[in-house]
Amino acid sequence: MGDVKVTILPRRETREVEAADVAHLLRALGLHQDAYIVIREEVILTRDVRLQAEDQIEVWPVISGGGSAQPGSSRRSSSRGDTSPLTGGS
Amino acid sequence: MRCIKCKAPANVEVRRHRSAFCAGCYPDWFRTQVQRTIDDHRMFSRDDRVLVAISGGKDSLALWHALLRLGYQTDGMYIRLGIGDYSVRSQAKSEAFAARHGLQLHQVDLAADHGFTIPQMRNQREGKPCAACGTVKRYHFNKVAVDLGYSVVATGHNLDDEAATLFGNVLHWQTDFLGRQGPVLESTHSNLARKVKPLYRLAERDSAAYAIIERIDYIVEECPMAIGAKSLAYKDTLNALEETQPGLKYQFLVGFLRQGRKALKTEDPVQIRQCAKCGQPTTAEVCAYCRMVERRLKKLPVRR
Repeated sequence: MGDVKVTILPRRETREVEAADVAHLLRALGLHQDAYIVIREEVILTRDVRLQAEDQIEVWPVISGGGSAQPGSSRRSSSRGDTSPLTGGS
Repeated sequence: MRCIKCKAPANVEVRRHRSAFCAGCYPDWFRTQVQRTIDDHRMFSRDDRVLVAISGGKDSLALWHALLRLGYQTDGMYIRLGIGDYSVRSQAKSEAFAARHGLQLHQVDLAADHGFTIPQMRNQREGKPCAACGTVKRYHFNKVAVDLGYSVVATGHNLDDEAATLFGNVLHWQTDFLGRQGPVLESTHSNLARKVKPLYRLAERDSAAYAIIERIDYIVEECPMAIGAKSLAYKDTLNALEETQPGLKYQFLVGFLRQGRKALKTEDPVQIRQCAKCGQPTTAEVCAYCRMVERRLKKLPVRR
């Protein structure tokens, strides 16, 4: 088993990682399965797919956050007493 | 791993459902989930004009694409937030999607139309504008929907967003927010649009996989203003739990909606009136948006 060449988006950081399959790869990179998608030659891979030394792998993050336009999602309290009816999404 | 529909090699695993799909079958499964959510909550019908809140990210564009393929009447709305190059690129992705599919994309430009940008709205204590950004989005999505006569505003909030919001509201015992969290926010005032979240039972990973398979060009990177945001920390914590307990986020959210929320709903309806400054619906004399813009632009200390 050789090292797999991995490009991690969005910064396109490159790593060489020894991993037998996709699940091992994510564990080796310290990434949660639910937070990333692993792609080889424009094809999404499930966690059981075996990897080869010459594989060029991309790891795409899927998490987004911040100002999500949800009530209470980014703030600690509605301290001004206005419960703003304009709630519910962005 | 094999596709549960056609037995071809799978591409997308949905662990909480103990399912997997090939790239050919997955988009249909995703759209079926969206349709079921719309039907289960009677979010809207094919006679309604739906305004989709667009950010240029995977969720909003996947939602717009799915609704289009499901035959709904949709237009998009994008807010130019003024977050440097990130906003420039997310705007370009949103406009390109609309042009590619021949769809209308309404836009609000905060700098040109309202004299400020989101980075100017940083909270003095935390140094982040995320809460202000949420207020801005809620205000303008609602205003455009009401002004242009849309029946409903659809947003791309997904399972991870909703579970993280619930987690944060529980941690801080925000009972007022907990009582109102849900996939549908009914209109309780003539100037208040109905809000719905057709993706709330689908994970972030599901909508990213849909966007990739359907070749939707979305902005992959995170908003630079969101780095270090609490919502991301909550998602990370929930994903760590989900790693060994698939389905935990879904059970947490759906269990709350079925069991917990009713215990927190208040009997007294919130009194809504018109903002003294802008006329938009509010529970205070001046709405949160007008107060925030005035306060931040004058650089007054944040009142607590």
